[in-house]
Amino acid sequence: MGLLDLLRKLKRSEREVRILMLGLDNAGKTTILKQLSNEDITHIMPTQGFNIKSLLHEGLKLNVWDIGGQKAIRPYWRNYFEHTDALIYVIDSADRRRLDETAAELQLLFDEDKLSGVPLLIYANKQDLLTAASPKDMAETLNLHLIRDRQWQIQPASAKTGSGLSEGMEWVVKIINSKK
Amino acid sequence: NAFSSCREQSITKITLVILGVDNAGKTTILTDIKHEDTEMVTPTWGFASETIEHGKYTLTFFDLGGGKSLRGIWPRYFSEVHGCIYVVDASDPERIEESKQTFMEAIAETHMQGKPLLIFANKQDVDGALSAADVADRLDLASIHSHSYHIAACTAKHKLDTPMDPRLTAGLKWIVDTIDKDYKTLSVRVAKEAAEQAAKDAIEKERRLQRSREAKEERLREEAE
Ligand SMILES: Nc1nc2c(ncn2[C@@H]2O[C@H](COP(=O)(O)OP(=O)(O)OP(=O)(O)O)[C@@H](O)[C@H]2O)c(=O)[nH]1
Ligand SMILES: Nc1nc2c(ncn2[C@@H]2O[C@H](COP(=O)(O)OP(=O)(O)OP(=O)(O)O)[C@@H](O)[C@H]2O)c(=O)[nH]1
Ligand SMILES: [Mg+2]
Ligand SMILES: [Mg+2]
Repeated sequence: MGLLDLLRKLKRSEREVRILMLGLDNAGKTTILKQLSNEDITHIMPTQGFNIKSLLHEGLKLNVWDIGGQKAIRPYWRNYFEHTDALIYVIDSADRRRLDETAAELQLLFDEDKLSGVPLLIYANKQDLLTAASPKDMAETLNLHLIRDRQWQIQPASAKTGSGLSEGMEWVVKIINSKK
Repeated sequence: NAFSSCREQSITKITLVILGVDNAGKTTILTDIKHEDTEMVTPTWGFASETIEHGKYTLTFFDLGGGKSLRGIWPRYFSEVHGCIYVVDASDPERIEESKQTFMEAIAETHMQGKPLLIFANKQDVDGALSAADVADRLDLASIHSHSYHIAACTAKHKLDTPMDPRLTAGLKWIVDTIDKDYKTLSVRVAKEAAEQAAKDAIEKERRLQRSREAKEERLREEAE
């Protein structure tokens, strides 16, 4: 490891970042967060308010805010927008009937000033359940191809098996690091 | 920040899209252009945009994922670009046919018609990598009459303490100069086609939102029963 890498590592270790995790109810947000911190995922209840978890990743402290996605709670999402370094949006890829609804909710987030320019990671979750829509179809349904003001990445994942979760987080960390 | 400046109209604003199959080295080349560490690059499954100042030009690059299942959205960006950088992994002869097909499909798109093409035969540091001439041959560049193009060999990946490959800078200079020669015509066309595309996208977006409202109502009705 070169001196530069080392210095960068040192700087990084002092950093705390705020990650906001949103998505419809039942998308798998809380399950993802529990998987990422190696906790039991067998008895997860719908989130009524929010959970916060701090994950340590390559010396970076990631404070992940997991907000409940039920319809009645969605109006409160906006209370959490401030100072967001990255947005993670979770989708139940198996729930094709609600793909349009989740696209509509995401669209509202694109129009929020406080989230403008914030990098976006999409977890196309529940990949263990079916041959999900292709990333291209998802990207189009979600209007991702219209985005010009922020970076986005779509990551197939399964919170149940854990696949794809760390790849997604690595992208988030890379983007946040390159911004500093 | 760099992103908000993309929207500003300056007379020498040039937008380029970087294409190529996955693993070709697109993001690595863009990382070079930003003078950042090319050894930290990871696969793209989405979109990134970078804007840099380059002499009298403001250059915006669109970096797209090259994975097979994402290539379908490439044309969505074409109306906005003045030219295209196409990256080929010259060290991987087995995928060159796929790379050629992908290239030919992309340049046949209406919104890519006639726009300058810069092709990089990347990964020259790998033993046995095809030369620029070989790659030109395998891509059948000689058959292209609808676009002006230029091919250059390069090695995008390098250690942070070694300088970036000057062939990258020279290639970039070629495409910027070529666009500059025809800037007026090209920029009028880009503005027109981008506006048309935006109007189409807006309609499609509205249709999608409408569909989502209907689906939601239907679901709520069923749940109530
Ligand atoms: N098969 C499968 N089931 C999953 C996966 N991820 C989550 N689930 C299940 O989906 C249900 C909802 O998961 P949660 O994590 O509670 O969803 P949430 O997004 O936090 O939901 P709210 O808190 O209501 O917003 C649970 O029964 C999970 O076990 C997955 O990858 N595969
Ligand atoms: N040896 C060598 N490896 C390179 C060179 N350029 C890129 N690579 C490596 O090739 C791999 C792919 O590079 P990327 O820049 O991610 O390729 P990409 O075209 O952006 O790929 P996608 O994002 O998946 O579409 C990485 O492991 C790079 O380090 C090069 O000049 N020489
Ligand atoms: Mg929850
Ligand atoms: Mg890439």
